[in-house]
Amino acid sequence: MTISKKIIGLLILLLGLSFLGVALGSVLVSFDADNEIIFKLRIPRTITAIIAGAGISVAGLLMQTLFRNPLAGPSVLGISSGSTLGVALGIFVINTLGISSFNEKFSISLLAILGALAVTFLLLFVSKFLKKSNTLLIVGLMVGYFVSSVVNVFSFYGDKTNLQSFVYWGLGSFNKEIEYSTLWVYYLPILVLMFFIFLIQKPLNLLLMGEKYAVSMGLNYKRIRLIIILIVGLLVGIITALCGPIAFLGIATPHLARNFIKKSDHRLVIPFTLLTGASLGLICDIISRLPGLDGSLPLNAVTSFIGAPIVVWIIFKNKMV
Amino acid sequence: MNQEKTIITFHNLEIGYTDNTLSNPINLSLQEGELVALMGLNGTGKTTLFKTILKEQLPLAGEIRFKGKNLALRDLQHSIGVVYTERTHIFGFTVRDMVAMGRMPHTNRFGKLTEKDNAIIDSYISQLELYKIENKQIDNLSDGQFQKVMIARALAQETPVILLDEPTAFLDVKNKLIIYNLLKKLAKEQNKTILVSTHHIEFCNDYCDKALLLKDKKIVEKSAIEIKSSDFD
Repeated sequence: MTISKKIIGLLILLLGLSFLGVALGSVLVSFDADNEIIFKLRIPRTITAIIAGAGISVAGLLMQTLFRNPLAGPSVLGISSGSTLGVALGIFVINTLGISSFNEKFSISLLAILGALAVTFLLLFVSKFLKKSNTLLIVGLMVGYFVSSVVNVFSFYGDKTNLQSFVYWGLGSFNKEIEYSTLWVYYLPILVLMFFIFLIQKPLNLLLMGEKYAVSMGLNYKRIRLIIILIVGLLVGIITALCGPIAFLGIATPHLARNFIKKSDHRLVIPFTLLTGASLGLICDIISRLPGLDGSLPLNAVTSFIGAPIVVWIIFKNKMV
Repeated sequence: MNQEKTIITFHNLEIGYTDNTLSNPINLSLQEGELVALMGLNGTGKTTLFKTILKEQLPLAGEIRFKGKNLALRDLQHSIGVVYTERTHIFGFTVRDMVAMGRMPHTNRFGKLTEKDNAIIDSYISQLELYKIENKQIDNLSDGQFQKVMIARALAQETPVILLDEPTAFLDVKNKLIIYNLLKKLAKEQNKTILVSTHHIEFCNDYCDKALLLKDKKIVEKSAIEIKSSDFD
């Protein structure tokens, strides 16, 4: 199958899944122009699944390329944990002090973005003193553990209502009962960041060769590392703010895309990762709210159910055992 | 020595680490069209000298001049190509894809290859007899085949200077001879300056114009045919 046939196939799959995403749910509804369930609930949920699935997947691709490590993903550098810390701060500390109403979705989202950016900038600062990307990966893991321990302390001392609210956010969901006008505040920066990734496809290809070769062929390594970390930080922060932490899609999707086209050239892998990530986001969302289910399954449970076997397959396939 | 033909000059260059200087000040130069063997026992500083030339490591003192000027890092891509000993693993990269990477410094911001780029890639695939494995995945190549591909990539970069760090370490006799002859041909016909880190005395004696011998924390410039095994005692 040629590359163009594969991309058309993925586009058809995405369209079909989008239709299913709108049609399926805990109740069967008709496609009336004034159907509130479709227009206020399912269409925004489907768009969120597409954009968040694509965004978190391409963030994983950037990290795997930067670190030349097949198991790198958005959660590995501690950026997702940074978002979680932001939300924990909002729910447990500031809310308890009564400074503001942090149970409102938008305020929590803002703190999730700020948390992700705080970890990102910490990593940027640390990266100035590190020569090797793999060392930064280890530092990122440690930052993630440290931040998680702080969140656990907050959870231990938090009251029951706040703890319930925090746990619910952590389960993840594409179901956002937010107005379209507010959703665009999330969608627009994600789409701009995705567009920007297409502009750095040549440096990303050079990074495949490894740092030494890439630099010898003109790559400004420190600058591209800074750009990638910033893009990943913003993407993960905004998506986590919108949907909660999404497990495994960031690690698994780039591998599926590369294996589908049998190429690592970013001019092809970026669009295929976006389309595969969007499709996987939709599949996870549809599974989470199949007719007959009472409410929705936690998104993280579904993404882990699909993503974890893929990651294990990657480990065996790459003979990493 | 014809000053116009000098391409790289080591001027009072000291390399190594602050607690371990690997060489006394180096003052020598490499000329256009020279095939030079960099020889010395392991740990004498061959790789450190390469790193210093490639600006991966700062010199402890002195400087390296490229055509009489200090070489900025951003100009390295058009001046010096390099082949390392270590193998690079990339899923989904064919031999042609890898040779094409050498053209990246010459392409636009999206890495689009022009007809000229493709002609140059074809030329080096042909010269290194890689046409039979052109579409093979690089992860499925033998070590020797892979090293030839990386040399073709460095050549496709079309820099006046090429550094090769033990390029024939994994090659059989036939492939070694192909590489040796090609390097000599490139130096003579295309006026390339080629610095090869190697342990092969026969290559130095039979193919190179001169040798830089690293020994006792010094670099000595010698005629290639003078190098003998006793130099390494």
